[in-house]
Amino acid sequence: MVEKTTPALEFWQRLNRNRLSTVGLLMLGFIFALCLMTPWLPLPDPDVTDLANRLKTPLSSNHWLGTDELGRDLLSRLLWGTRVSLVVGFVATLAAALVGSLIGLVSGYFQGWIDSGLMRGVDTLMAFPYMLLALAIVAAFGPGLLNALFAIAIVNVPFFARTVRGATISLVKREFILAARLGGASHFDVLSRELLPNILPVIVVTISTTAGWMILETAGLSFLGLGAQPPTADLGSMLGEGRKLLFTAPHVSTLPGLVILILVISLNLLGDGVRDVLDPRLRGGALRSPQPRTQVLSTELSSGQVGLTGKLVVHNLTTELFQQGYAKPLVRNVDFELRPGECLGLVGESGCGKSVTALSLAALAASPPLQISSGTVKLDGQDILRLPLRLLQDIRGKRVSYIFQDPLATLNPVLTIGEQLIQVIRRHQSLSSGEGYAEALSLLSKVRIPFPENRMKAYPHQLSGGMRQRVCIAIALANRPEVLIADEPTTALDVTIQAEILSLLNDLRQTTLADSQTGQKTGLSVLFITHDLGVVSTICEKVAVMYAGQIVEFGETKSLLESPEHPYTQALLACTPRLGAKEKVLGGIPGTPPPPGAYPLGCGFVDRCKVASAKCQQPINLLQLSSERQVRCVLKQESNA
Amino acid sequence: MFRYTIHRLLLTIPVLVGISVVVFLIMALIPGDPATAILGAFATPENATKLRAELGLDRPLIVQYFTWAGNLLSGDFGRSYALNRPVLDELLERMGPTLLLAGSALCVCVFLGLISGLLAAVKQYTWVDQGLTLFTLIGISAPSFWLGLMAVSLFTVQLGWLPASGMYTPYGDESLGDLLVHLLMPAVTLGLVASSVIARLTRTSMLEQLRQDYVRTARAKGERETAVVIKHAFRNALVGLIPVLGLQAGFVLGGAVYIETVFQWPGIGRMLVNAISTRDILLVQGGVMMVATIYVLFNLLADLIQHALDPRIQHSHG
Amino acid sequence: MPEPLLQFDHVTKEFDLNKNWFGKPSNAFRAVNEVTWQVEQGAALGIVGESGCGKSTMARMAVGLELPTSGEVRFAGKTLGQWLKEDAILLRQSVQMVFQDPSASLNPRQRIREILELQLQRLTDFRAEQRTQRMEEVLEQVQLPSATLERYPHEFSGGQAQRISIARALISKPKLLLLDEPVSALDVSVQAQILLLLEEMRKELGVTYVFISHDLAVVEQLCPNVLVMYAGSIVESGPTRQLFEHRRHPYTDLLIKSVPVPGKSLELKSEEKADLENQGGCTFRNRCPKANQQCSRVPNLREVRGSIGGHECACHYPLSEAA
Repeated sequence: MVEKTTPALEFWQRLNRNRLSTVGLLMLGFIFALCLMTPWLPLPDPDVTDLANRLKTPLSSNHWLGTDELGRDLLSRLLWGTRVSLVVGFVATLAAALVGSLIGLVSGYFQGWIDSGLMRGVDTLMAFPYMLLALAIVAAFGPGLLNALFAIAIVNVPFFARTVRGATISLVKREFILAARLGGASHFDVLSRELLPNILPVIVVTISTTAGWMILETAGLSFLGLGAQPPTADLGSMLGEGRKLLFTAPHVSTLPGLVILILVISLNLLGDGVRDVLDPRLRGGALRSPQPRTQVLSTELSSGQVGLTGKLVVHNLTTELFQQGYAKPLVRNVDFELRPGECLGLVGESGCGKSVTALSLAALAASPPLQISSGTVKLDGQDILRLPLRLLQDIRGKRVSYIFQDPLATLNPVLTIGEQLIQVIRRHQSLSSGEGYAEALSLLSKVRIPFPENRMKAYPHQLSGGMRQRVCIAIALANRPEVLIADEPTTALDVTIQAEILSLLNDLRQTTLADSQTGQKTGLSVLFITHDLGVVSTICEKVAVMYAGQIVEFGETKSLLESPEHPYTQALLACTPRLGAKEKVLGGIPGTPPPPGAYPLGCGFVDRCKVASAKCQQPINLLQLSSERQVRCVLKQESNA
Repeated sequence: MFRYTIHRLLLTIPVLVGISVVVFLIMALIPGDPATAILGAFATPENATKLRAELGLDRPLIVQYFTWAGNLLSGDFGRSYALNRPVLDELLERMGPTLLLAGSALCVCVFLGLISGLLAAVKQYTWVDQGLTLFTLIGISAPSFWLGLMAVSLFTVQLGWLPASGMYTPYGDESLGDLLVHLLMPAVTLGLVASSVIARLTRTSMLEQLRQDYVRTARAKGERETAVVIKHAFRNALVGLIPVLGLQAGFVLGGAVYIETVFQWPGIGRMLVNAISTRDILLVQGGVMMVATIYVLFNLLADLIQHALDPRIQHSHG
Repeated sequence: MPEPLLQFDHVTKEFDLNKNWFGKPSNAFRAVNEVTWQVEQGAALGIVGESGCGKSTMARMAVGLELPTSGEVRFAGKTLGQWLKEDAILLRQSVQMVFQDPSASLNPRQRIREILELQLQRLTDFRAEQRTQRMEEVLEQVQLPSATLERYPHEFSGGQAQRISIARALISKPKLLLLDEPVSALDVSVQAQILLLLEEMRKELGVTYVFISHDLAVVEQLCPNVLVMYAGSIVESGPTRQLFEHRRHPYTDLLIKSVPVPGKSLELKSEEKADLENQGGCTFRNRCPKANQQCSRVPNLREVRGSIGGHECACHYPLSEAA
């Protein structure tokens, strides 16, 4: 469990981490403080005219910021005007937020005819260009500050209503709302106690991003002479009055505009900060987008294990999560080799580092926040992690290719299957577009997609999950790669579809093996990542079991599953339910795996292991039990020694 | 696509009806008696009653609406009292300048917004990004009318490069060059402010897309980074941005009111402000109706473009 | 024979896919098709099927979150419609549900105390100290410390969150618990813990379970009886062990043969599929190796000859014993 924090405390900590929003907050605080103090400041009355001192420039005596054409003190007028603008802007924002959120909440929650009724109205208001409706309302009710406030609030109601409605609709489907309804909650109860606290961040974000905007609009109406009426002045009307003097006394219009600019900038800075903190998509610190390749820290050039002659040799690979100045290892000193034509399974539960390992092999792990801190990945003896980007790109998709878990998310939604296939073919082979098309078509038939001509024109969302994964396989095999890395390719699929895909992969692999008999090519090497020991048994000759970022056991599939050596492998096999087994496997492994990045120095399994001792706290090496079996456990080291 | 276009065109009808109802209601609910307002100094009870009957104001609201809407359809927008000419004539005369201003501002907005947003996202957290972020922050925070005034005081008062107001030099030859010189400042001011919104959204959207799984797939395929960014990420980002561009048309049309006032541009926006101050109700009604209709058409266009770009929505409609 | 606690009587559920201009449905999708089954007090029934087979829709109808398009769902002899009208609170007390995604089923803005206490406030007339007592009792049952109460959902792992969900469901002492894929989002080692907990709860409290899952092996662990669903219909039902060992429906056969088992290699066959769009008749006929003309008639669920314990199958050409 994580350390205890309240949401409110966390909010402030996160907000203050963003320096720009702190600046915004300070600026806004300063403006607020000034406005609150204005009545007690030693300033001339803002409305007293003094024609003898008209149009004084800034920095003149008695008038720091000069005077306007009636000799009124500009500093005093600016401060009083800011008060008016602030009050009008905030009241309008709150009114719009209140009414809009209520409409959005009700219409998103009840849906049906209430929703369509309310939304028709909102859509009609939205069908007007932004300022135009405000103008029309002011035109009807007559110029004046209160009417301007009213108009601006109305104009912004639809914005709140739509945002809140969208957020509500996505929440209503969530299970905790269903659970509350099943718990006998009334509609009001669900709305106020379950939904509202979750919608509140959305409302706060919307308020903070629109408040500045509302102040601009109020100023706009006043600028046109439709808002504040003399002698009351807000920043907009001061600007409007100063406009006539642009050529003779530019400061009279420049200054109010500057104040509006500063006010709105500080609101927007704060608003951006609030949004970044409260928007769930921006959480987790992953604010930077992943770069074309994973950052590799060390310049390791050591030859690594000499004896290994595999197609792909991974040595001492360590990948870390780098966040807020700390590097937490997710994959720790992983060694393995992939021989030509071999299928190696990499098995483990979620968070054990198996996917990060897979992605690190072609430097595809999202970076930032991930980085490879040590290790080499050698393809035919050449370290591909440290190749220049362009050469690495020439290897990706040609010699080393990938299949990922979720075939919908991994295909580009706006390109057809054909376009995506032809792209990868023509990227690595110099073919004409016609030849590319023919090649793509034959690939689709090879992965047993019926009616390939039609499917070439289809978009990913038009295919079923199984068909999409076949397309991904076709893309991966398009340039006859030497190494295929399959990252949980069947996890998102139903079992019957999974069986079909496994069968397809197996057949395709056998074909390349058959080709290699004729001496033209070596067979395809596959690294198959999965959490399912059953899938491993079906397709892999060898298997590596991962736990807490390390490989804990390695061996030939059959012998490893029949006689597991590591306590984790043993426990995992014991709690895997098997159809038709005589005895039940109730119980599981007590406790939970250590969360990614918080791995202990020694054995990762120590807290859940029945046979753990004090020695397990030390770092443990992978022990070679026999030519084809390795295990990382203190007990085995002792019994072997 | 053809069926969808027809479908979408038909859907604009209820929207236009809704707009007309709102416009009518706002004007019908004006506090005070329009007849008295129109007659001004000539308002006697008899005169007012007579005018009310002439204008149909003594009939039920719903009848008034249908009469008004029927007249609109037949091109009769009524007569402007302040200008003493048919509203439609005035509108048609002023529509061209507004469309020219808004259209060029929209071009500036789309061009600058998309490019700078794309650049900021790709160069995330470099000086390019920070510079653009600061620039767009000012863009969304500054009042457009103030920016206009500042531009005038710089380019007209200080440097004397550009004319401060109007569409043509008075008594000039009304040439295209003259028009462009006059158009430059208002269009760029209006476009800059609108482009800031687009730039910020483009940046956010691009960053979001670059995090998606399909981008990783594109990289796993060995695509060059330029192709990853343009062909994959930007193409997807654009799909989400098209409706926002439609909304920006509304922003530009609304913002034109200020810019036309600042630069004395002879468009509908400035006409509206004048009409409001003279309480020329029919002119306001007609102007609002006209601009709102233009906006609906812009949104229709954006919708059709998005429909063509995004294959995912093609099957959800007939 | 004990009285059935929950009964589905020719239940059909349709969802509108498209609506025309006037809001009238122009195209409906039949998620559940004429389904009849029941579960006795104290039993545990498994419902197995792949995604989109209608099992989750059935769960929602069983608790009254959705109402059937036609047919009746009865709890303790009364239809859910009647229950909701007459005594909704008693129904909610007696029928509870545990959802698949443990992190989505707890309100992220409420402490566990609030989550559990709200449930008690809404369903019982317990006083404050009774509520506290009950909360501690139920947490002990699901093997969580009472310090759990002061924490927020995000502080828990998936397995722990699922324990909390089970605690919330059990807190009003329900008679029937719907478990909608309760262990699918969990890792194997944690999944087995939750299965053990559920098994213990059932023995201890005598709650009736309806357990919905796509995982045959998991269902076998917990449920003596099982229904197999395909495309909205029940294709086979009966005592779990017997059904799996002596399956008669080709779909059940395909399903079981597709499950990879550790230590055993799947017999992978290159599938050849007639990709023809057949309308009507047996829902499985497009994928069925045995399908012929006869299959354009809808097969009824019939007792398998010579079976014990009500083994039923809906197929015109059931597999022979040898399969």
